[in-house]
Amino acid sequence: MPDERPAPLLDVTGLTKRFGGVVALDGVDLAVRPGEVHALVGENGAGKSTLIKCLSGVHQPDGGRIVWAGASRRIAGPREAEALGISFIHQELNVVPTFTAAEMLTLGRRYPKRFGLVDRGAMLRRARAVAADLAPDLPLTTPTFALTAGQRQMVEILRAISVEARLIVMDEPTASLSRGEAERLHRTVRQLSAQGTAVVYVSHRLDEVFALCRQVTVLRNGKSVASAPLSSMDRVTLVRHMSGDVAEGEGGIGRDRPSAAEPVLAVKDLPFGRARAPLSLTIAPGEIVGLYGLVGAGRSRLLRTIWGAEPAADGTAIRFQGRPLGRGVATRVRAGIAYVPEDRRTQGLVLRHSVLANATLPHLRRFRAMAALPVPARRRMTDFLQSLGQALNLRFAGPDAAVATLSGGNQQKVLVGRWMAGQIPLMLLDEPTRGVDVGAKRQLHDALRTQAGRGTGILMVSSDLEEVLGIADRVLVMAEGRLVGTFDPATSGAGAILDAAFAGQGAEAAA
Amino acid sequence: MKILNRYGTLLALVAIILGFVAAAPDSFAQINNLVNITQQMSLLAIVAIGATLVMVLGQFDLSVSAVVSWAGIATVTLLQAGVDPALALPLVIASCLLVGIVSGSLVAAFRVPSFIATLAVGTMLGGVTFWVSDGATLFGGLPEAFRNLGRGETLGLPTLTWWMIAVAALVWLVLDRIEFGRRLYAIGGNREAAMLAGVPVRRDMIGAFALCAAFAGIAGILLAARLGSAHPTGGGSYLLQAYAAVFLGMTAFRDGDANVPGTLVGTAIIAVVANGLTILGVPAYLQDVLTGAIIIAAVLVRQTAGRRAA
Repeated sequence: MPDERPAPLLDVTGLTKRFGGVVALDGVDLAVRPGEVHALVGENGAGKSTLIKCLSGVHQPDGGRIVWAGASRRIAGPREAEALGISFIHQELNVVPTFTAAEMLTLGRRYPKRFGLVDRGAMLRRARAVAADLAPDLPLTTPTFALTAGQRQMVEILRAISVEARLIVMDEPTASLSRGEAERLHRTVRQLSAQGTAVVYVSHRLDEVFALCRQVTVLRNGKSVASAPLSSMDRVTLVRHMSGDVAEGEGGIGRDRPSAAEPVLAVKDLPFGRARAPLSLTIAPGEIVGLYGLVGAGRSRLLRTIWGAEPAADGTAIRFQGRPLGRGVATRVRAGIAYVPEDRRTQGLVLRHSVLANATLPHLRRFRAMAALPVPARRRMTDFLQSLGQALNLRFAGPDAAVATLSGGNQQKVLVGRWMAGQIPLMLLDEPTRGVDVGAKRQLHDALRTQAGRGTGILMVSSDLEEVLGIADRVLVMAEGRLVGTFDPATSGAGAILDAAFAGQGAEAAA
Repeated sequence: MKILNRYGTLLALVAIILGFVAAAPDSFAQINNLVNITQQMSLLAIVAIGATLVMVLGQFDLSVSAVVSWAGIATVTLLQAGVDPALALPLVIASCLLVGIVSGSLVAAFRVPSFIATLAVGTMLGGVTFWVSDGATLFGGLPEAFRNLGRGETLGLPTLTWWMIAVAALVWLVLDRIEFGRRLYAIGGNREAAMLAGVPVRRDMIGAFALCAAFAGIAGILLAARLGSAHPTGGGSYLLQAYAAVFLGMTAFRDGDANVPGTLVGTAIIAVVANGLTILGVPAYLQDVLTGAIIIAAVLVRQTAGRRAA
């Protein structure tokens, strides 16, 4: 059938990008025509953000072609992208907190001038004209730090549409908008489309995607796995494209299923999330519970709250072995609970310091030469590091090597292993295998299974569905700060879990 | 390269000493003069070692010179009023601890930038010091036993040198061998990671600020004992020099972290340069220019060496 549509404005073919050993993009195709609203969807980590950063020139692709308006291009940086006529609404809010909305709209562009000086009056008039349609009530002269998240997002949106762009890439633009703001944005997107501006629209909200977009491209594991008109696709097919054919669960296999003993962790009616909705969950000894959800669902925050790093709205709602845990991280450490934060570089490790210092930090007291003196014995610390090295197959040059010199997988092993100095009744793990190679991942999984076999209850946040299905005895799905579903990996597939995560996402917007 | 990185500052000290030995063999190189240098650097070293505790956290305490002045005035005032030194000195040190606790609480619990918090606390303390002393130098009426804390010799070395050695040994133990010190380094390296690993971040930070102020207070007491008097801005010169010493020391021994041996080497460089140039008859203002230049040179050497190693 001959294609009668206009030639693509943007035609990406075979784009690849790797970061070290990790392949982020593995042959992505994306064709966007003038005036088209094109949805770009996929799981967390599918490669959407990397693709966008290649288009904006933040990353340089390792292979493939970007053809813009008929000519093959290398986009060197954001300024060049803007000069070509591509503008971006980024997911992270890039505003200078002390600047007003009017100032943000002019930043990095030509300032209106009078007598060689910046003409603030003209600047404000220009901003007002831009905001008139989309956000008539946005305060233009208030510093952006005093605005709501939604208003800041709106500033970012206005910035993107205030230049003459032929293509606007919107990365989760409605994630922090109120319903009214989102509707106004949708109207603007339709207007832009009618004027011939193309829009690439990234969203986790599938109802929004179906309502707004004409065409969709699905990314999975760095590949574009489907590209089709949305009219030819239903929700179930779309979700199946995103999740792929993940093997059905085998979580409990090889271990005895945990008994129905007293839960090691019980959260009961904890007011949580923006809505302060009550949240409850239990973890049995020896049970591995996966906590799945989309970015921003509140999973990390829940773990931090259980860990005592953020105040719980109700301190008695979190019970460990039947008793309330009280406040602060130190009480958890003393109870023998383990915690591995989401971002090992900024939250987990002291990168500049040695492997030894990092591995012994949480339980320094355990290495005392004499119980009464707060003097850790180096010998006992190196012995511990050695045993940890053997248990987890940790590779490092020596105890005094800076932990920054280790590979990502070995760094993660330090973060997991450093809690294993004694009995661990409970482990709270936030993306414990993110960005580690396959071998290290398997070793970490083995270590977690062994640990569970000894009776440790494990609550593990992961955005990797395959991992969740492979290791968990039970999968909880979180969306918008609520637990929206419980699944048994032995009987549920990836599609059901993913669908629950996406459906939960829409629930709040519709409520 | 690694050796230059780690011991470059120490080598610089040795080179500077050898340079002065060659330039003034009859005066600088005398054993008496070298011993004298250890005495001249002692009070600065005590202040700088205290400041090291806070620098380990990646924070500044800009109130140290105000604390030195306050401790001197407070001590002399109490002693002149006839208070027993055995009571007066602990009281003064306790007041300094309190000042440190206030600064530390502002920084740790209320997240006030340490630059601002300690500048403000130091300014307030300076005002109190002036008020107590009426702006005048206080002298006379000090018991001999007290004066002997800061003058004369003990076991063949100047008494002040012994104080420096004691403080250095103590703080080195605290930072290098005690859990508290390891936690301070962790907080300075990554506060969020330390908090999530269960380190009592607030308590430890407040403790470091309190100890820093206490050591500045000890320096102020010893200064008053040595001079037999106290001036309301007597500690004024210590602030910049102490931080110069700490910065010089951060380029030594431990990669990029403040540490006691490094601070001692840094203080020694400053003291040796001052002593040597004075002996050579170089005017004081040139000494300041040179000291500044040495700090810049030390940091530049390390930066370029570090980049090549990376």
